[in-house]
Amino acid sequence: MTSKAIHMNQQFTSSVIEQINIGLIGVDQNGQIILWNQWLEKYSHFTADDAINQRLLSIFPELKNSRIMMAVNDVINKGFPAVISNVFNRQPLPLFSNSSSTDRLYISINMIPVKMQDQSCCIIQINDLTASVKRENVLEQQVEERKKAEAVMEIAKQKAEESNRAKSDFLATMSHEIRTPMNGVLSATGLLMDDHCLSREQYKLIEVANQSGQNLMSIINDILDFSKIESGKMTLEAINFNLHKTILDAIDLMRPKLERRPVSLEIDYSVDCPEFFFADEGRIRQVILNLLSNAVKFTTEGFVRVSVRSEGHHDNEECIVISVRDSGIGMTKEQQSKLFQAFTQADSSTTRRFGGTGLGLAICKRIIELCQGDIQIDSVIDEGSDIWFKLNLPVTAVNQNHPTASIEKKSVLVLDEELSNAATLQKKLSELGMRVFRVSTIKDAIQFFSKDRPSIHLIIADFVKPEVSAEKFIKSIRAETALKDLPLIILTSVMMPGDIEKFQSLGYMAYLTKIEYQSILERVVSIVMGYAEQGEIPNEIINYLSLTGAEIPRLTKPIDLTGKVLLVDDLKVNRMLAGCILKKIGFDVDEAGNGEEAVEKWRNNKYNLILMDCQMPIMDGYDATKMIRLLEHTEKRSPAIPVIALTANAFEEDKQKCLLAGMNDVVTKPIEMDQLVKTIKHFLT
Amino acid sequence: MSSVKTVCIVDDSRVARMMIKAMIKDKQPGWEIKEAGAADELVSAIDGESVDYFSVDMNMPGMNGIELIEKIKPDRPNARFALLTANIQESVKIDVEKLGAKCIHKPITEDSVGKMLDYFNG
Amino acid sequence: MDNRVFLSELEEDFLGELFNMGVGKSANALSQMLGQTIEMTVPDIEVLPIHDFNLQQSQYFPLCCVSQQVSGAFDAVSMLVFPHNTSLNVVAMMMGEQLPAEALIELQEEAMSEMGNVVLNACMGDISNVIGDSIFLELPTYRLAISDLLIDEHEAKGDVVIHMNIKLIISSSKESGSLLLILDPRALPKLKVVLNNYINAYS
Repeated sequence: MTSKAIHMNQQFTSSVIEQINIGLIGVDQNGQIILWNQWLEKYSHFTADDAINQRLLSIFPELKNSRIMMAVNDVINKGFPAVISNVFNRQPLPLFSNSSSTDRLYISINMIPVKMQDQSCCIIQINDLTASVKRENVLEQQVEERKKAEAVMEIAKQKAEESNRAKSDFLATMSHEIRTPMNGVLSATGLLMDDHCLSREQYKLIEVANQSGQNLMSIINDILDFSKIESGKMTLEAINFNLHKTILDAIDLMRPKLERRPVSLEIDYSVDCPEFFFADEGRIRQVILNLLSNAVKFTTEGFVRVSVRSEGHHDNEECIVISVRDSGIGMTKEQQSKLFQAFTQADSSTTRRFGGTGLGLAICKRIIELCQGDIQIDSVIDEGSDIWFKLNLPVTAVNQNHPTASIEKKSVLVLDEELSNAATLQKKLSELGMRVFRVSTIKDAIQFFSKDRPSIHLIIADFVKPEVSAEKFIKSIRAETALKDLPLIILTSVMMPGDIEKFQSLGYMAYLTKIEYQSILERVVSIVMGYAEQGEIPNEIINYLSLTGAEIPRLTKPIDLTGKVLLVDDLKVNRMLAGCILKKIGFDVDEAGNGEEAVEKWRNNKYNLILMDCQMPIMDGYDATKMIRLLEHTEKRSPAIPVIALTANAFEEDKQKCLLAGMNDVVTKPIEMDQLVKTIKHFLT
Repeated sequence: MSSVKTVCIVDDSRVARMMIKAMIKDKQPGWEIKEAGAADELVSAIDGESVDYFSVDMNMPGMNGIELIEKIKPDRPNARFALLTANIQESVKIDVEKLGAKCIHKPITEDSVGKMLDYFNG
Repeated sequence: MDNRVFLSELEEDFLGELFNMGVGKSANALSQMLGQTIEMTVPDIEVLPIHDFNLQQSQYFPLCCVSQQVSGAFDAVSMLVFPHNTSLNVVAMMMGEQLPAEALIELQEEAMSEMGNVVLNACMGDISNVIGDSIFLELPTYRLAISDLLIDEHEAKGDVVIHMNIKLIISSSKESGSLLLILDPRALPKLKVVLNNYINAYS
């Protein structure tokens, strides 16, 4: 470099040192200041002239024994660089934002060792962090305020949740407490109603008491359900079931509630929709019943129609839409918006007009949500409502291999003595593409065949008195050689026990009731035609029950059980009621008032069965059962005695608790004879 | 200081043992010096012999110095123990003193070994 | 790989002792900054390929690393490494006041740099005293490293590293960090001279 260049370079360097926005202090081996740039003049109240050749401590006496001085010594003596951060050394030097200010700067310092003419010197670099520290402080404050606000909200939220939980718990407890005495009322009135010695007047009064009790029970059950959902205790179970049958049963249950209003209860189950699913039938039935009961309540004339269709499937799941539509009073938009909220009815005046807790739809909505479904309403005031819900349900395969045949263009003769159904039936069959001929008496039917008529593939017969006419008709038909193999379907209004066996033995190929036929007519007809085409006869008469896999009510005496039963319950009234039922069934009954007594009696007597209440003083039912199972094991008693739990709690977890204690099954209170018989029959045969 | 004393140096570092040994020999030429590189080695090195002083390193694999002193001190109530450690925290010193031993700070220098010998002799 | 290719048993032994003493000073410095007792582990010396070294570090969790280049008596990188979470706790301990996590993260880099500087200086200063030779240090650099990339393979001078590791454990919380000295094998002759000067004096 030329001397000019060196000069330039030095000038440039020193102007950088003076202009740079960093404080620079140079300290030599003896601790004397050799550099003090403009930045420091600006912020320190000392000029370079003041500072140069002074010791750092005489400029900043407060630095005595400070970390900065120690670091400077280390840098000079050991040659190690040092970092003095703003974090641990808040405002370590008396530097101020301007000459008149007392606000200290926030700074960070780096110290670097340098060798100059064999001297170890220290360069102190000072960075002004004031702006960013202030920004940080503001940020910190904001964070703190936000946290405070969040904490306040969190407390409020917790309180709200707590009180909500407390409310749910209270409702659940109260409902449970009411259910127990109500069970007594219902069982007692139920038993009285079976008593044939009552006068008409007395019967009417008891019926009112029973009916009111049942209404109260359903309200309590609603509340219990609702509080269970609210407190997150409701769980879903899954079983194999026939959705079609579930809906038909629900419709059947609603029929009495129409009370002679001109309302038709209809079902429209789409042919391409599967019927068997693996899901929580109980909950789905509950929703359908709820929707139906609302529809029936608010419809004075016209129809209530349940329709089921499929919106396609994914993997093994079918997307099912179930809609309950009515021609009732309908709702305004505003009413619709409040519909699924708890404790509200569309119009608060409706509470008085129609009764009910207003919980039903709220429960429905929550159940459907629990099933990951969706529930919606369409409604026009004075025209009616359509509430529908959508669920994805796993489909289960049905093991039924009936042959089927095309029914289009086939001819069918409808014999309809009643005439009430003829038009609908004819319409339906025509819709299916069949050619329909109608006659209204057996005589006409016989005549129909004697004339030169197009060949008939099928007869559907509907008699006023099937118990008489069914036999007469089929005999006269079969008498004709040409008609020997013609398939016959019989249609009746209600199914009586033994009907199925009877019609099967007469030779009818299928049997339908009027409630069912609309939905399964097509299937039944095509199955019947399938068998006819192959010249076969099905093993069992084709009917709704056999198609849906339901149990067929046989014409047998339902109650044929005998033996000795130990009835364990701490409440005398319960023992009395259950005792009545057991005696009616045909049992000898012995009683015990608590678990201890029960174990004692069981050791000294021979019983065929124990009915065990769960909650009892002295020793509860769980412990008593465990004790019995233990004694059976140690004393090598066999066979093990069946123990059936009696419990007012129908929750799955209660059942599990019973089974874990060694009980065989659970019967819920109030005891119903059918349920009890069904349960214990299994253990006594 | 007329009697012949036995001192045992326990340190996993051979260099450290060499240094300590050299410095002790320099100042107490008559003393018998034993060495051990780890706790288990120590047991066989001094089995059945009387040892007056122990110079124990703090940081050793397996059993550390404090644990080692805790273990052997009850059987040798008259011996003196010095614990050599690079860990110069006050809390460590307190722990060692509680144990009835002397805390000597590393590095191993004439000065630090001198302090140890003063403790043994004093 | 065999350590003795690079260092004799005695050399390695003494290096460990040296490092141990240095870290003793570091632990004391750290202890004073945190107001906590610090426990130390026995030094762990290994020679291995950089790639394997990186793999050995607990996989994929973020580490805070303050490093200072060392030159003079020997060439190395000294590092103080904490898992990221631990580092936040350490900063919190140093601050000695309740600060929200957001603020701690803001302060982390500065605080760790200063702490690393103090701790590493203490260690190297002590080593320099014992061997009686000068050691030069550069200003600390702070970085957040994914653990398996603690040493940048491209920046590294050789394909193997000699690394020494002592864990510093905070007694009260059992959280720990490491003090690492990573030696450049090519500068080894220099180091051997230093070590042997010392060893020969006593054997």
